[in-house]
Formats: sequence, structure tokens, C-alpha cells
Amino acid sequence: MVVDTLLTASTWFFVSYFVLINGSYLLIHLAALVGIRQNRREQRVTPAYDIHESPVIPGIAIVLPAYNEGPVVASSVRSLLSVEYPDFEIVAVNDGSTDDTLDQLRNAFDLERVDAEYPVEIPCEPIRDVYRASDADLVVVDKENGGKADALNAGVFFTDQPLFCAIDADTVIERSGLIEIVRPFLRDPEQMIATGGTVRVANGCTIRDGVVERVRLSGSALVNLQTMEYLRAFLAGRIGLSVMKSLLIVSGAFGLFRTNAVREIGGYSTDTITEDMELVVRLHRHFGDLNEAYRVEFVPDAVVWTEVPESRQVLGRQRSRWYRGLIESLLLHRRMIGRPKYGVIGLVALPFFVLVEFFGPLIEGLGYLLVPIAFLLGLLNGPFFLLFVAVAVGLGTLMSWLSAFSEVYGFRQYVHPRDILGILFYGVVENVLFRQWKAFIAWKGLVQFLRGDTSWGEMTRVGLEQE
Amino acid sequence: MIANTVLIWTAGAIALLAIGVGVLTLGASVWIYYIQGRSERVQTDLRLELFERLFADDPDWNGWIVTLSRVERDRLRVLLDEYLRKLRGTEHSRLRELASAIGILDQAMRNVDRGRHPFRALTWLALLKEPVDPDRLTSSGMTTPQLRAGAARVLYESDHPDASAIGTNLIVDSESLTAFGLDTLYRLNNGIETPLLTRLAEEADSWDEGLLVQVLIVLRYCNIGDVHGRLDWLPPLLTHTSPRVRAAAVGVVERHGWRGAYQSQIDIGTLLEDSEVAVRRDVYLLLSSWNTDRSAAWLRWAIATADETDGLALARAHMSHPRTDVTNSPAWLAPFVDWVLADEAVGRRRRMWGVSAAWS
Repeated sequence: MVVDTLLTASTWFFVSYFVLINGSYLLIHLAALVGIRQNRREQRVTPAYDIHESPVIPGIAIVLPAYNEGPVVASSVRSLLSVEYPDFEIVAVNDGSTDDTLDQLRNAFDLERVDAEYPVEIPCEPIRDVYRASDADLVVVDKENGGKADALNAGVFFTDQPLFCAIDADTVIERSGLIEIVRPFLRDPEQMIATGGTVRVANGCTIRDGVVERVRLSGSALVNLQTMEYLRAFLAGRIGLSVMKSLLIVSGAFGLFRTNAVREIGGYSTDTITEDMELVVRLHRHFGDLNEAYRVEFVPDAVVWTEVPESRQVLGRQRSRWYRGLIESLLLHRRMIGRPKYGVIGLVALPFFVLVEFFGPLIEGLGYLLVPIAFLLGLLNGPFFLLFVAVAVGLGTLMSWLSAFSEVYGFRQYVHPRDILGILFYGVVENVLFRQWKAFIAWKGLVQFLRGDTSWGEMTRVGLEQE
Repeated sequence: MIANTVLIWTAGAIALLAIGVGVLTLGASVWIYYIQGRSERVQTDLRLELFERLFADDPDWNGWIVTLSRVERDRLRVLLDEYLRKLRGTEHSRLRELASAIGILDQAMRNVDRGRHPFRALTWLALLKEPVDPDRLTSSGMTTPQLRAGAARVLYESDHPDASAIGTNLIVDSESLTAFGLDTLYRLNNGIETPLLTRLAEEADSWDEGLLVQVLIVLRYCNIGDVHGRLDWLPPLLTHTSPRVRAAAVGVVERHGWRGAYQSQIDIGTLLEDSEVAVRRDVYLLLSSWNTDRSAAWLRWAIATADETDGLALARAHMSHPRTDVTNSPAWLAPFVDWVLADEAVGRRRRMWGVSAAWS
């Protein structure tokens, strides 16, 4: 009797949760399709003025934190120097690298050292030297190691530009990337405080002189599974959440911020595991507390290409860190959850992240554990279980394929039908083993978080450029 | 419990839906791959033909257009959008004839009348520099700042005799401006008329902070023919409650208030004691741009009373003022002066200042 009741209750719990989670995702996907349609309409018309000749366009500092990025940093800066924008400077921050990152920059850009100590106190680890390129708007801040957030703070507080763009050193920006990501600021200069761009997978693409010449899938299944994930995360998740005014994450790999807004809240937190999400949630909190109108938006046409992990170990460490960062950000700002004062962020976005993004993989992982136990105890309703799995896999595939459709309909970076077929294929096969592995990583991340593990894990760079 | 039949139907429906999306995605990718390849080839050929005709004695646009397919006409519109922005003079006039021949002009006018895709229609009219009656432009309702700026741009581009006044009113009657609106406002006020000055004199104290800052920033960059008696509204803004407004007003003083009569109206002492660092920094730059003994004296006074918070801005202002001497600076300023000297020695680019207030 008790077992039956427990079994019925747990079945109802899992089914209800399943409906909640998939219902939320479907809603976001539908919102994303609306957003893409709107975006396509807006993209068709460029206002009749030339921003290169306008005196009222904001200057942008591109802040590039670099720690042991020797193989990729010169290519990354080269791609940044080629972006189309009337007024920008690059602030590359060498965060106490132990490899040849600084030498790579010095040799590639003919840097000259500023022969004086930087006299302004900046909230970051001590600055050792500042270098400038003689023939480009490039400044390199060489500082003691303090982590990515600390390096970003060095750039944020060093520059005198009104906007800054945080970008990872292992990324290649598209030439139109900066103009695209600044568009919401140009449309609404008074309220816009942050915009995020799309991060796409560079592995497999042909990149020369900092420019992505040919977009293709990689030869590695693990990389292509991540390609599918990135499409889902950016072309469905971010667009949908942005349409619903619920954007909590602006990727650390590519985001544009109002410099003063970030300075007002003290810059990036150096104590958190994922500084990007924490910063955006803190901005929401700050402006919610001030009761000031503000906006955070996602810009799908602003694109950077990044190198993703090619080994399961490195990917596991990265995902575990992302999950720990999620827990930490939600815990740090738990007082915002459910508070009408924070509007949609408090009432929708944060509860969504708690119920779906935090609990989702844990409950899924629990299911993977309980099903074999129930089977061994003879408690599993075989046909029901199989049908339930079919529905779950079907929904997972449907949502992945909707993202693939968004790519084809709205963005067309992958132009060859063979690549689209590949993406559709990985949208199905990710349901087998990969999805289960990610649930396991989430549990591992939770355990690491409870143990107080704040490690980053090392990412081995092979470089983006083709010889 | 949930009946298995419900799950079967659900699984079936999801499978059908997924297959539908998959087929649609793959089908669209094949179709787009084919169309995109064709469009690129078409566009390359069209571009060559367009330039041949553009520089020929008689382009014969009508004769050419009847030979074009629908895809080619669509691509030609894209090319027109690109080159109407880039070319001037005779070439622009010829492209305008082509746009008219292909029906863009008529369609844009119709859409303006009907309020259908109004921003796109206004953009075409501005690119074509088409004279349009202001009442007709605004007849379908100017509901957003972007549309208001679009209508004002058409008047500006077509050299309408009342473009400055009508366009300025259209734009500043919005609650806030887009960057396109800011740029258009700048173009409409850059010259002799500057109707913004009249609006500011009448309404500066009733505008909200955002609009006021944006308008002041625009004015910072405008050339004004005769400022005599037209900047009397400015000094009160230097003590406005908003530091953003104060900073933007300092920018206008720097650009237009350098004449002796205005300089004497500005209470520099109060400005140098402003509670906001951003305002003080702009005041230092303002002083450095005034090549007078009085401004040099104010800078020396600022150095004597300020602290390290303002060190870098003060050192930069001090170094760029032709009538100050760094050798007598206090010891605390020395590291800042050293830095500024060393930084400029390796090529630090001096930036245009003032615009940041609009984005801060």
C-alpha cells in the first residue's frame, strides 16, 4: 500500500515536473521564433545615415582578458582590429600569464611600453606595465594574475570609453559584430545597459587572418554535439528569454555594457565562479533597487566564434563550472526570487532558472538512477516507461530541431544542407548518453559546490587559425 | 494514472511535429542553398551591368528593367540601397532615376500614405532625397522616435526649406532619441538656423533629464552661426540637479561659450567644486580648451585644491593648456604628469570628449 502510494506520488511528481520543464522550454522556443521574425524585419531596414560619419556615436573599449592564451591571442586581436566601427579601442589585459601571451602581443603589434607607473588605483591586482601599439588603437595592460573577473575589471576601470565590450581571447569576432551588438544602444541610448551576442563554435571552420572564411561542422562528434547545444542555447534560449525580458546571462565571451553602470556596482565580482551571469543578475538587482527603467537585450546577429573543448574531460570541467556558477549566482541573489520589485526578472526569470536550469538536470539524473532500481524491484511499468522515454526523446529532438530551423530561417551561417543534416542528426543522438552524461556532470557540480570547490579547470587551446 | 493511450497519442503527435520541423528545416536549407548561390551569381552580374550603365551616356534603365526577372529585381533593390548611401552627385541622380523606374519611389510614397512599413518607406525616401510635403510625411502618425527621425531625415535630405524647424520639432517632441535621431538632429541644427536654441530657451526647464542630455550633446557638436543672446538658458543648467545634465552643459560651454561675454557669466569656482567627478573632469577639459590666463589660473587653483581622485584628468588638462607650467605642480600630481607625458610619448590618441555624457 505504502509502496504503491509512493510510486504513484513519485510518478505524478516526475510527470508534472516533466510537463513544467518542457512546457517552459517550448514557450521559450516559440518566443524565440517570434523574436527571430521581428529581428528579420528590423534587419531589413538600415536607417538612412552613416554611423562612420556621425559625431554622436559612443566609443567602445573592447576588453580582452588573456591568461595563457599565447596560441590564440594575436589572431584574436587581429580579428578585433578589423571590426567595422567608427570609434573603438582594444584593451587587452594580460592576467599574469605564465606562457608567451605578452610576447605574442608585443611581437605581433609592435607594442611600446609606457615608461611610467600607472598612477590611478584600479580595483584589481597590481598593474605591472602598460603598452600601446604605435599604429593601432590597442593598449595592453600587463598585470599580476587575479583571474578573469579581475582582468576584466582592469580594463573596465582603465578605459574612458562610455561602453565596453567584454570578449574572450579565444574568440574570433565577425567584422560586423560590434556594429550589431551596439544597435540596441543606438536605438535606446537612455535605457540600454547591456547587450549580449551569439557565440558560435569555431572548431571545424576555416579561419584566416582573424576572419571566418568557411563555416562547417567539425569532424569531432563531441564538438558537433556542442554546436547543437550552442544553437539551442543562443538561437532559442537567449532570443526567447530576451523577448520575454528575462535575460539573466550575457555570455562572458561577447557582451556589451554601459561602463558606468558596471562601475557603479563595483565591476565584476572576483569571488564568483561564473562572473558573467553574476554580473548581469547584479545589474538587474541594482536597477531594480533604484527603480530605474533599464534594458538588457540579446542580439542574435552579433556573432563571435569560439573554440570549444574537444575532450570529454575538459568539457566536463567546463560544464561543472558553469553549473556551480549557476548555483552560486542563484544563491547570492536568492532574495530577488519572487519579488515583484524586480519585475519579470524576480517573478519569471529567476524562478525559471531555479526550477528548470538548476533542478532540471538533477531531477533528470535522479530519474536515471531510480528507473533501474524500480526495474530491479519489479515496480516499473514497462510500457508506460517506454512511452514516457519516447515522449521525452521526441520533445528533446523537437526543440533541437526548432533551433536548427531558427538557424536556417533566421541566420544561415551553416549554408550547406549537409551541415544542416548533421545538426539535425546530432539533435537526435544527443538524447542518448550525452544528455545522461550532462545530468551526471550537474550532480558532480553540485557535490563540488557543496564541498566549496571554486576551480576553473584548464582549457587547452590548439589555436583557431589554419596554416 | 495517465493512460498509456494518452502517451501513445502524445508521442505520435510529437513525432509528427518533429518530423515536420525536420523536413521543413532540411527542405528550407536545400532551397536556400540553391537560391542563395543563384542570388550571389545574379548580384555579381547585376553589379557589373549596373556600373556599366551608370557611367554610360544613356543608361536606358527602363529598357534594362523589363529584361530582369523577379529575383534580379529584388537583388537590384539591395544594390540600390547600398549605392544610394555611397554615391553622390550625378551618379546618385541616375540611381534615383533607376529607383523610380523600378517602382521603389511610388511604392514608398504609397506606403507612407497608408502607414504600411513606414520606416522602410521613409528610409527609401531619404535615400532618394525625395521632396515630400511634411504634412503628407506625418499623415499616417509618427508613433515612435525612430519614425519621427525618419520623417525629419527625409526633409533634411531633400533640402526642404523648413527642414530645420519642422524636423527639429518632430524629433525633440519624442520622449527620447535614437542614435539616428541624434544624428539627424545634429544635421538639422548644424549651421545658421539652429532651431534647437529656440526650443531650449523655451522649454529646457521642462524637459526630462534624458532628452535634455541628448539635446545638449547634439548642440555640443553643432556649428552655430551667431550665438549672441541665444545661450542665456545655458548657465542655469550648470547647476541642474542631474550631474549628467551639468556635464553635458559644460560640453556646450566648451564648444560655444568661449566668447568673453559668456565666459564671464560662468561661475567656474562653483563648477570646480561640483560634487561629481565626471562634471569636474569636463570642467578641467573646458579650461584647458580656453587659451587664456584666467583659465590657466583656475587650473592652478584646481590643482591646489583637488585630490588624487582628479589627478589624471587634471594632469591631462594641465598638460594641454598652452599657458600652464607643470614644473611648479605639487608633488602629488607628479606621478600623474609623468604618466600623461609617457603615455602621449607612445601615441595615446586624444579623444573627442563630451559625447560620453549621452551614454553614461
